[in-house]
Amino acid sequence: MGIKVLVIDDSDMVRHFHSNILKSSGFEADGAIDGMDAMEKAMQTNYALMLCDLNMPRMDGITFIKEYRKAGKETPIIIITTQEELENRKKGYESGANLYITKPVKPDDLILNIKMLLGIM
Amino acid sequence: MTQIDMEKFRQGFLEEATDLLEGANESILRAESEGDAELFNAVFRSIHTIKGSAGGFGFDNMSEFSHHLETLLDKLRNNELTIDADITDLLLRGVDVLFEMVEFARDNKPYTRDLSELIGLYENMSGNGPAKEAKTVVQETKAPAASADGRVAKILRDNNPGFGKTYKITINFTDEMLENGYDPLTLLNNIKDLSVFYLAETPTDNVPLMASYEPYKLYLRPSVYIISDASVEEINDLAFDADLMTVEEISTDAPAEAQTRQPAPAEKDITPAPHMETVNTDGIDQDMLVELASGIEDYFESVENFLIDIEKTGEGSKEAVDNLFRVFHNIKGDCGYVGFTFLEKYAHLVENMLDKVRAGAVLFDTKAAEFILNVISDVKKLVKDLINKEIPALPATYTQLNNLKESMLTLGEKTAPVSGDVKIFLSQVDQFMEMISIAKSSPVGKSMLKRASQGLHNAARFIGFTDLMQLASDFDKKASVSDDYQTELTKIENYINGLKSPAKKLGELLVETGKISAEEIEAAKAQQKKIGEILVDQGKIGKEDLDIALKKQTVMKAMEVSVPAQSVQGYGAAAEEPESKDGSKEKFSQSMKVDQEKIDKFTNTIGELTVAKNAYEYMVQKLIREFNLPTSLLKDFKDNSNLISRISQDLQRDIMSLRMVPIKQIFNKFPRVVRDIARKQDKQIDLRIIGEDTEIDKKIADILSDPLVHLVRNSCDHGIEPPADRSRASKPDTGHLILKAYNEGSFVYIEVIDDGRGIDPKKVLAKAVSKGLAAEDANLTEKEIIQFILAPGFSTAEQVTDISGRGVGMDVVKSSITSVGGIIDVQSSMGDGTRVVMKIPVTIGMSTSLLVRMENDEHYAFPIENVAETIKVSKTQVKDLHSGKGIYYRGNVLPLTQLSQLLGDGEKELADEVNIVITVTDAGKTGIIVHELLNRMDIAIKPVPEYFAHLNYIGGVTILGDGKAVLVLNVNKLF
Repeated sequence: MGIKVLVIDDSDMVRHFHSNILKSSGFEADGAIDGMDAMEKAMQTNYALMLCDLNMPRMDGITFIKEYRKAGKETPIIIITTQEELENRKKGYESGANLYITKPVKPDDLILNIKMLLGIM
Repeated sequence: MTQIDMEKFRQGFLEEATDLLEGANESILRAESEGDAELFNAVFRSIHTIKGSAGGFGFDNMSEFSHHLETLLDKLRNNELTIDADITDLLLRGVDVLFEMVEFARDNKPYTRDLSELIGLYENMSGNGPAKEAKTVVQETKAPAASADGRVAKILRDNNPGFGKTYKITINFTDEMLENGYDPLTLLNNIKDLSVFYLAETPTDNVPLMASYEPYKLYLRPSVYIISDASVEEINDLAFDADLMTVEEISTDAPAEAQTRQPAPAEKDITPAPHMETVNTDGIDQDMLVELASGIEDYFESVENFLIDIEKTGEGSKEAVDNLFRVFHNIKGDCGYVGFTFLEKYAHLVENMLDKVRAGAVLFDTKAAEFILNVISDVKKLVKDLINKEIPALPATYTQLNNLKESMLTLGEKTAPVSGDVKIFLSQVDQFMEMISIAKSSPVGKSMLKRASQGLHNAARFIGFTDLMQLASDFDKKASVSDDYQTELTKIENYINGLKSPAKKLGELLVETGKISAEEIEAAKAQQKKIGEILVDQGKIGKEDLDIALKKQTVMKAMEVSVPAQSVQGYGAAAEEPESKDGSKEKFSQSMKVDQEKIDKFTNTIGELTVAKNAYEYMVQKLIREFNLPTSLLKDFKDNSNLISRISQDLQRDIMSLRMVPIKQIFNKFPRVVRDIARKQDKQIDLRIIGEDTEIDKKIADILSDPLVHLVRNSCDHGIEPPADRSRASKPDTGHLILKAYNEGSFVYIEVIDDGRGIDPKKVLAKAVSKGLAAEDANLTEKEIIQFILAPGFSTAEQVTDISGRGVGMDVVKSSITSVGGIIDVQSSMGDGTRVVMKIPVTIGMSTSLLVRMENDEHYAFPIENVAETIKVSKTQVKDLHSGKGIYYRGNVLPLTQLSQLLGDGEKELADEVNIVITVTDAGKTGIIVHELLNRMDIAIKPVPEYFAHLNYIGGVTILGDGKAVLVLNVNKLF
């Protein structure tokens, strides 16, 4: 399919995992270790979607999404985090995220969420 | 709008926290006495919940403090610490602090108390626990796998089908992975699907007891041995990451006799693989077998025709499947009866499969029919072999079924209609709706709306709801140009609410789309075919419309299952807390919190209904008396009057039962109260609670709560002696305190009984005299003296302790009890203990009263609980005593007073026949002379109006049927 997804997470393990889940479902996956890294990569490559963690060093998820949206980019972003409270969800929406998923997420559910958000079968 | 909602949730949280803390309190106390680690688990969960939610609502201090408490509890539930009185104290103090924080939060006050000392204590405690566990886990996993090698090799050899390679697979999942949602089970299932033979050696030694079980810890790390014709690469591909497992090909060759044993063709091998049942023929009676065989023969005959039909047409009717199911079910039963366990299990497997078909998870097609036919021949052959005393071969269909059983389980999940997508679809839709609602108050609302509608559109597209896609686009268009998008939003909301409503019939859904009418549906139904097909055939609806409707139906059905869970857990992730296990959720769903004010209002209204009902009865009486109406009409009136009175009585009873709460609610806190005092004073007190399920009006319960605490404290503090004193008095060291509640008539009795030192009448009298409550030379019985302790400003405790005895006690208790129309009685015996009995009306607001009339036609009501009896005596029997009037009554002198006198209306001339109400008050029995005794009736007592409030002899006001206002007397205050 060649749909490119950027996985933004400071945990090597999570990045590794999400990338593998994506790859096994036919997506292409890149990784970014925090908001700064993500910003650099997102400006160079046209991703179809981004998965973004919230708590990260240097630049956190919310700041990244805000900055990215400020740059006028509308690439769908899914926040994946362990913080499930409504307050945080609100912050996520307001920063410009398209969807908010709480960890742990099952591989199948992750793929479904992505496909549904992109509206592809 | 969102502000308000938040506040509501906050309040909800605080209320929930209170409930949780109360539960925690109780569990901690129980844990101290029972030492049950499961109880700590419960407390841990409660505190954990508070910690999590508190943070979310911005109560950071609560969240932070809970964390310390949680750490300590964690040690306790893992048995790293053992509970003792000190720890219990610490835990209880922690719960108290949280209680306080909740109180502060409720009043919107910041919590400023310094907790560093307490937190320090927690940290000290928690630090003591050794963290050994993790290490032992690692060590144990390795040992069994190595030692089992020889045995494993043998099993693998025995099950070698003659092809494929043997692999050993080690799974390298970590706890962290499991925590992030990666369960190795999926991988194991995939491996199994790829294998001819699958063996998982799972060391279970390190699985802890439930009490210390951690949900995110990976306890089972099986070594998997498989025989498969797949290559290492193919197996590695099963995992999305090669690091997740190590696959190595292994040799199972046994040193010596390996070669001779290895080729073991399946058909000759009667001994099945170790995880299968053997064809056990032991204990089967030959005669019975013949009978069984003929029975089975009959069963099969009855279904063979169905099967052949299915095989031909490729479609199994429900009836056919049901029949098949029944046949195998019967065979199972018969075999069980005869003791033929093998065939019993065999039939059970078939039954299982058919059950899936019946549930709709599996399609019954030609292949299935063929398979069942094979089963039938196999079973027939099996039985025949047995009758001929041959050893039967293991039927091929049995093995197939056995393998099928496993995949069936997963199959059921997969075919359960699109439940995965539906779940995700619904959670996404909820989020988008949430975004829309937040967008209204957000500065970046516009782009949020855009994203939400885009998301809705795409999700709808994914699930195939073209109509929702359209709605989402409409909304998007409107919202991008104006803020007035409510119409479009409502349409979407309605659509989603429609999905959340109970599953509808396909026909209804089609009618809703507006493409066809209800009549057309009816017509289609009449044709007895599948409704959808007919309508497509007739060109009424397109195939697409039907598909959408069908999908909607599926979503609705899925909603019915998933909605309750979703609404509790919120969005996205599935359940993570073992919360629901303790059944607390269930309890909540059964009751409903209603504002007390509403209930009070309802009670009042029903009170008014009672008044109106009385008026109606009065009018009916008047009609009968004063007008000469036809009997039939009067009868109708009377009947109707009876009906209304029955209904209003029912209503009254129902509302009263609504107000009732088990007295448990107030009794619950006493274990803690008693424990604290006992510990502080080094006493041993055993509290026994009896009749905690007795019900009482909520309002009364609230009023009683404080007086009861007072009484219990008194008993513990002043009543029960320290162990040394007790043993000197040759009593057991442990003192006993009994809290008892029971019903009698329309009263609840509450007793507080202790076996302490009792009340010393001499001290009481001395004090009473010194306070000027009694004359020094008064000739009083012990009982009368003891009643003095109920008088205001009375305390006999020599030492004012910090627990009770500040001298404001018992009179407050007494006034609380009398304020709800109750009576309190104290009995005590020196050295043996004290018993306080309270008699309290079950409910307030509604009461039975005795109505009397005065000379001036004023009416008054005596609460029936104050009336012992009513008598009529002749004027001559009333004697003038030196202190007033009186009569001889049942061998005693009964003092009499005129009501008119009591009410300040002066003395009246007695009539020839004197009506007397004998009242029971604190001061004993007194006769009250009234002009006329009317009837006894149910009245709704209203509180005394403000301007009457200073008249303490008036207990309330009520209105009679004829509209007359009546004062209800507070008999205790009359004299």
